[in-house]
Amino acid sequence: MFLAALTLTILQAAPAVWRNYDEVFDFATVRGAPVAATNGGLLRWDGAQWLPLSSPAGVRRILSADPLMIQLSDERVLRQDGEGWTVVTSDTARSQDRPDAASYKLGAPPPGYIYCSIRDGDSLLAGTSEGIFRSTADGWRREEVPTAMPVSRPNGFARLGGDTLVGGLGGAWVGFPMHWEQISKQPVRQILGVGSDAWIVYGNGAVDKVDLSAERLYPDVFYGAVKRPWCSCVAQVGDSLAFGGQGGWMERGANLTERYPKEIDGDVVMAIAGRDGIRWIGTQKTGLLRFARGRLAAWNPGNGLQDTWVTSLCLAPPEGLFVGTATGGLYRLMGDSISPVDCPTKRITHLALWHDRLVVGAMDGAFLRDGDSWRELPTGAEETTALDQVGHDLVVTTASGVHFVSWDDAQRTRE
Amino acid sequence: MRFLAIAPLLAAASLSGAQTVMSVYNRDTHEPFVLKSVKVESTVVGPIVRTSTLLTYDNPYTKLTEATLNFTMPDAGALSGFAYYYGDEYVPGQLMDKSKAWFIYTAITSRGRDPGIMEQWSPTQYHCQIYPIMGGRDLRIRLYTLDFLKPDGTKLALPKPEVPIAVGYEVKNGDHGKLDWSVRSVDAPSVTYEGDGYSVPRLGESVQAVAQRFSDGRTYVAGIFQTPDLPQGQTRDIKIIDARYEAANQPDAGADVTNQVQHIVDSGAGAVDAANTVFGDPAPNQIKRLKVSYSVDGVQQTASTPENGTMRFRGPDAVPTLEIPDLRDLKTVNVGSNAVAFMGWVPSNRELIAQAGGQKFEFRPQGIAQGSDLARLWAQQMLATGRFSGSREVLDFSLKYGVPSNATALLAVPSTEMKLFREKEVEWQKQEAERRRREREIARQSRGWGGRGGGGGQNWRAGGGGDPEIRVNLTGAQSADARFADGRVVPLTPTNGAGPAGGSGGGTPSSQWGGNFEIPASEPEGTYPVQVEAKMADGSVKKMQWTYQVDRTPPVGKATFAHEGGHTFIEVRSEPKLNEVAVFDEHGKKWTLKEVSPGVYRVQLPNSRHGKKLVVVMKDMAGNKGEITCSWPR
Repeated sequence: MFLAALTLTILQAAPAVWRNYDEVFDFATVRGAPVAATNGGLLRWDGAQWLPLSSPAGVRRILSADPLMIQLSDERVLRQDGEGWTVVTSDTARSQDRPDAASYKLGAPPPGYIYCSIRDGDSLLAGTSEGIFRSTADGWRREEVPTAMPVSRPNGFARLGGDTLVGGLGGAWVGFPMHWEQISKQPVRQILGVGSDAWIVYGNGAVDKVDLSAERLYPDVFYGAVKRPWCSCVAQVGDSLAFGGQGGWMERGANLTERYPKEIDGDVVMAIAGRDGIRWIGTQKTGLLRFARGRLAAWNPGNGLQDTWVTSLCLAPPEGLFVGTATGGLYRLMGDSISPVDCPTKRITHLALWHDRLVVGAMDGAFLRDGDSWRELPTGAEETTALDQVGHDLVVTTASGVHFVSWDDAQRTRE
Repeated sequence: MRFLAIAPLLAAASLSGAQTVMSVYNRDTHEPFVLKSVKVESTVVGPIVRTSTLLTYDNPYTKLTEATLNFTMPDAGALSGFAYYYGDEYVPGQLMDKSKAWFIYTAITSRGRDPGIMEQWSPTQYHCQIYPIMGGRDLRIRLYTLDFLKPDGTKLALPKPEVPIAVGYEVKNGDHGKLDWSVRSVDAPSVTYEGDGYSVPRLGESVQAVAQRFSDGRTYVAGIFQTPDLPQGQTRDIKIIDARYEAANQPDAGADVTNQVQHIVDSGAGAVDAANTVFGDPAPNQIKRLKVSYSVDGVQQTASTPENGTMRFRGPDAVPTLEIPDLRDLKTVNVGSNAVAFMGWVPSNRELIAQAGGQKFEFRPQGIAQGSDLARLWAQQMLATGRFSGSREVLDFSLKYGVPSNATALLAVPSTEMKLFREKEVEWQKQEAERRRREREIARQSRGWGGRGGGGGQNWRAGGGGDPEIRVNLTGAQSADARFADGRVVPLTPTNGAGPAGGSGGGTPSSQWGGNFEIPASEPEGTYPVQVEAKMADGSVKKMQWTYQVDRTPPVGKATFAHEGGHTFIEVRSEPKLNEVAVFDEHGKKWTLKEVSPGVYRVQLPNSRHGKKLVVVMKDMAGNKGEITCSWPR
């Protein structure tokens, strides 16, 4: 049911993926051409343009050129192996000339922090926190790289009409590749698109509403409107929206209502699902609770849900409610009975339905449930930070970018 | 650069008998532009008249010239549009945020000096600049206005437009231009020409009104209410207490005209023109007003009329207070000695009842084609007399109805300049977006989100990944970076105050710098350094270092039971300062243990058993979880 361990972390061909290559940590000359190690992966200069090499994201150093070996941000060392990469342990250190970019008297230095530099013919390339710059007679010139994302670690995505809203540690942007407008600088926790609107939950608990059709942003919508204007999650429940918070949740439908049950006092609501008058609330410390017709039921390590930290919920009739947990894997609640579900990962971050199949986003990849088996989706086994759908495609945002997975691509992946 | 920038905008043409165009002159030389022709087209719709006025001035200048145009508006009227001709091109004005219009105008105009002050002296007086005027071509301006007909005995008269032939910066008394004036009526009785003006017969009712649906879904109503005329021979006792003809912006510059006004009133006139021709010019080169305190039949009142306007004296009961209970946001304006124009809205057209002087008058407004005319007449009065919570509300209201205000301006841009106009518009929008974003960020910071209040600094992910914050006090820093073990350098930004020390933002330099960084999901357990390096305003470099820990070790512990005083307690011994220790039974009930001493956690359990099994869950601050399974004590 589950593929082999991560000795091979392969970036399979080619669902579309948006990455940010703006942070350039290292250069090396590989087979006569400059190669850059960036937050989005490796880039290679072919004499006319920078093109991405198939590689993991988050590359910090290029340890050797032949064989090509790289070190990632988590200090893992990988060696190129055909089209893929193999994790190895190595003390290989690279010795290459590292000219000091600052020693070139070219007037003002390039913007950002200069991480590295390398000669390329008669010019010098500088890798910075804001891109690749090439020295010219007139000063530094920014090189065009295939950056499609305004942020290196997206946490949220929504497609509204022809525009896309993305959010990450550096804030929220709206637009499309190469044409982004920043609408907020606050770190984004979650984005939910509903019709032509989008709701942004920030890391500091504030919630903004974005109406792209009117090009308006409504900041901090709950400030002054509810007792505890601090949000941890948002979900669509029928025709209304539910916002989880500290010790309770708010629902915005025809009216704005708040509920703060004493059973979750002091806890944080991590996920919400609902149908008619029933609400399932997933928390950090109290497990799963169901509020229905004035009655409360709870599931936690005492009665079958081994992890109190519920990260995600997905209502999937007729199978019931799927419950994702932080370290305890996947569960299914049918009626009042909860049971574990065999799953390739124990560290679930998101759940979604796609073509009526369950998709699990986790700290170690994204997986599609196919009957009783699972397929790993081609997202490089990276941490899933959000799940969404655009048309018939599944959108998986990861620590390194946004992956657009078609149904055909998903069918071609391994079980 | 061919722009017509018009301040709170555009005065309307004439319809009140007041002078519409007060002066048109060359801004550099102050010489007047000479009027060549005035073509007026009026359309009567019930008690309302729409007017389009084309003013053509001779332009003797062969090089680029700027003209200044001053207008007055009638009290009850509204401007519905403005345009000018650049050569043969008809260029309509766009109503927009005044700051945006000025940004575009001043950014593009290459005159190298302040294009002038845009002021709204009152809701009825406006100032406009037209630049440049094509050399060798006439200056042509078109105004579109709305107003009410003026009751005149048994008729409703169209106020006659009056435009001086030449009035420059140094105001000169010019003859009025000859009008080419055509009038037609729609949904109104036939118009007749008599003497030197047009009129329609009064229908005989006290109330004449029209209703029109606007795009916001409301139906706006506008009309005229007239009281019966005074019985034959009855007069009112009008005494002038104090009257001054003075500069509007400098009241000290003026003249006492009490005796002159009293003389005019005593001669039987019920109105006085506020004009230099009547009182002389006590404040040359300044716009003036007539301000009068007077009593009618013993009741004291005060009135003010701008230069070239007409002040009418009326008694307290000439027009009783008008009420129309079902007409929402009712606004009224006197339009005659015994007539009031009124405006308001209803959800849909219907029978209404006007109440005045103890009498009731039923009427049903005549429906006219959907449009914005009546909404604009009402909005004009709302802007003149309504209460708004701020300039933003005024701007939004003004733009919604397309009516000028002190928050808006009209900008007319010929097609040849549209590309530049759009670029500047985009630039302005970016600036505004950035300004709004800064305001939001500051407002959020002031709410103290950083882990205080409801958040409590929760770590979102168990086992790694997250967005920790850095907050450092660095008074006097110009820049600051945070450097991490994996080589990344994250720039820090000021989180309060105006910005870095020595920056151009002004204000108090920020003392607190901050930023967010991520901990990779797979980062191994260990201690990791973070170094902050700041460049100070005095050129020195300040360094600070601390560490963060990645903890992936779940807590372990041991659970025991105790019976004390007839009660059962569960006690768990583990590491101190755990985030939470809780025990769950088979029915899902939860009890949270308290740390009674370092590493010792305790809670009282019910004496009766709840099933067989208990599960104790221990969670540390990093979210690592340890479990102990035990049985209920016997």
